[in-house]
Amino acid sequence: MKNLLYKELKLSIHPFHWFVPLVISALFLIPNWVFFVVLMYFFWISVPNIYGAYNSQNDLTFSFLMPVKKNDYVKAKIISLLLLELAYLVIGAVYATLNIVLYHTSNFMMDLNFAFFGIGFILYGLFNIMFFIKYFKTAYNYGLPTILGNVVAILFATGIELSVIFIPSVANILEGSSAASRLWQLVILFAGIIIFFLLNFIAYRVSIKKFERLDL
Amino acid sequence: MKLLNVKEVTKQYPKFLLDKVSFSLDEGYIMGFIGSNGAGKTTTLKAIMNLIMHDGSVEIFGQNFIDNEHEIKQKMGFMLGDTEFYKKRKIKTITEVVKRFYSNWDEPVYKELLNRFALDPEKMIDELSKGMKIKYNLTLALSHHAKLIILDEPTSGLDPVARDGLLELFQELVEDGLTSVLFSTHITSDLEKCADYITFINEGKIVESTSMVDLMESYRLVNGSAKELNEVKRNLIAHKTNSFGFTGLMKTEFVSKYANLNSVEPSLDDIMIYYAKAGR
Repeated sequence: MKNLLYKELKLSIHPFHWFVPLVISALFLIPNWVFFVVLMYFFWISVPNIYGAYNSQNDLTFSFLMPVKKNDYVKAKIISLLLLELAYLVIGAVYATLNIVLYHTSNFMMDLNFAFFGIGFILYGLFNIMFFIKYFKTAYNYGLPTILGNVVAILFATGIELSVIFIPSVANILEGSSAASRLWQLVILFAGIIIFFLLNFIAYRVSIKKFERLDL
Repeated sequence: MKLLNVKEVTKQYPKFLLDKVSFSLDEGYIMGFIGSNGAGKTTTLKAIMNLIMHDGSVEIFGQNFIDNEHEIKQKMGFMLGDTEFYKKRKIKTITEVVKRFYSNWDEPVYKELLNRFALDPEKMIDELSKGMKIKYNLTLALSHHAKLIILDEPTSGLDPVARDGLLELFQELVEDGLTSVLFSTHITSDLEKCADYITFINEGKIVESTSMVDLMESYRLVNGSAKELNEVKRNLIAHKTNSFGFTGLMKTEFVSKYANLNSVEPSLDDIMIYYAKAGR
């Protein structure tokens, strides 16, 4: 598996995609913005480009001419996207801290805090489960899987943003500055991380079942 | 020892059936896999490599392929037709990735082969001629000591000089008596130069899988007058009529029944053409 991951990072995923979160995350510095959009650039720019490149480079056939197990192939694909998502979140957190330090004001939409990043993890988890399960039905068609992942992730983020605006009790938990609220936000971060890994694990198990039956 | 043993491999597509394909290849030989376009050559090779789901079984090095895929692929080289991978990347980058997958990768052998084939590791795959690409693929296969090398249409698109060079290389590879090469082609003159065995597939079915000599012995191209055609028709695989009469392909065993017919040894092309005609 680690050989396949090496292949992903050395050969398949262009270094440009590691550069994107570095630049895009600067959008966290825009005052009063819908910050979930910053995380979404990942599946607007990186996912379609990376998966389009897999097709044009015949990555699937290239991989399976070598001693590669089908489940390792799925695992390497999921882990490499996961690493990129972590890059978006970690670099995003740095810029978010900068935002807080610079402006000292709350955001009109959801604030940047631990809960924001917990929900960010869930957002990526939801995208991944929709994307991978649909993608590994064909292992080449990435258009519809990307759209499905987008629809679910955007609906989820919209739901959160609207709740923050219209439901005071939700806003109190997600944006409150009391000690209890801050504890809740930390809990949401850790819950988000757990849900993220859980969703990816389910995506992996279901994807393997679909991929095993596929003619390459 | 049988390096490759394909048993009743079957694959059903909506409009094509690969029908109980069986053949085997011993160590130290070159086998040509022939058939017209769409006969099932690539499908068979993909089934052997377990790239497509199929019925039947494939044994390589005496082991069931599906159960021991990882281990068996360590000792195999495989090249698929015109499919190109990461063609804007340098040879050295591709090798850096590929070699990690093989536990018995032999760096000195790799370096030696690069020199021998004049492959520049700084060159991109796209900059290589078709012949050089095949040589690079063979270099990768030989650097992990592949004992079974399977190539899909390696000679198509090569000029006669490059083709001849490649066929000589195949012969050199099997000289140790331990390595075997299976390659598909529809350029039959390639096989006349180097193949020990021929497996002939037509419309998804194996027609013959035998030594080159036996294959040529078992068919005759016969010709006779239009009158004689009716009499011999039932023993002909297929025939073509012309203003002098007919020409047809017949199994050698039937030829002695018809004393009046002229018969000559067919070429591999003739065998392929008449079988394809019979299927129409």
